[in-house]
Amino acid sequence: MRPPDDAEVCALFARLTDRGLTLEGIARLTDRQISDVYFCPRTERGDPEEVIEAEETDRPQSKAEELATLWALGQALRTPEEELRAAWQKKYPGDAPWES
Amino acid sequence: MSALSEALGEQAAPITFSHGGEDYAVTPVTQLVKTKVERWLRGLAYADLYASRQDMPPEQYEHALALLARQRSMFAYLGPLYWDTVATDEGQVGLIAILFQTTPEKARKLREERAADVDALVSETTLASMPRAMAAEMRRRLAEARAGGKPGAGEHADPTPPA
Repeated sequence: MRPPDDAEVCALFARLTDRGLTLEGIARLTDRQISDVYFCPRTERGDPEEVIEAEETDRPQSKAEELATLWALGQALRTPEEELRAAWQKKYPGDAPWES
Repeated sequence: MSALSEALGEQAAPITFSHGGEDYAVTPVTQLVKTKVERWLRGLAYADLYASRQDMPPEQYEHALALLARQRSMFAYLGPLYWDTVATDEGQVGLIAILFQTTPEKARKLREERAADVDALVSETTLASMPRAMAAEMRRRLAEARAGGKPGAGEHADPTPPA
């Protein structure tokens, strides 16, 4: 979610080319397309799960995903960490995963 | 937008925006568009530094140049410099020029004459190109900001790029 660094971009592109995409093809994809299609959740057998969301808010996030989103977005918007922690603890009182 | 159109992105139905007898093809934020934004931000940073070179000793200028060359991540799409830039008038014009695939002059005219429409299209295009969870969070913050509450987004009250 946050702007990836150079190493992360290289790793992402490597994974996509492993799946048969060319660099030209990747260049024409949005982050959402990559997220939805190429990193669609898989079953234990490796088959794509048949989950289709009509709206952004339809996809339930796990708590870990929710935390990652909050942090990524906070970093992009330069929100102070204290504010992010307060927002998290307001929603999940007593939960402080950054301490573990 | 159907799941098919969304998945196929610009290969499906590009958004056409018409104004003043001209049609503008508004591009989704693909990886290629992100690189265009980053090149644009980098260009602005170098231009700023070059413009201020007279006000600093040569060694300081050289040092700043070297620093800029090393700080590649600062130009990242949706990174800090992005938000700082699109918060300015010229930044908004630059972003519109990239997304509407036109010149800065025409982008400025679009912004002056169709501000609300262009603003909405830039915001929607940007959000629709993001991963869903991030877009949903952005929308939530935007709604909070518009409701007059504290957005909790640092100095950027409006998390979407204004146009």
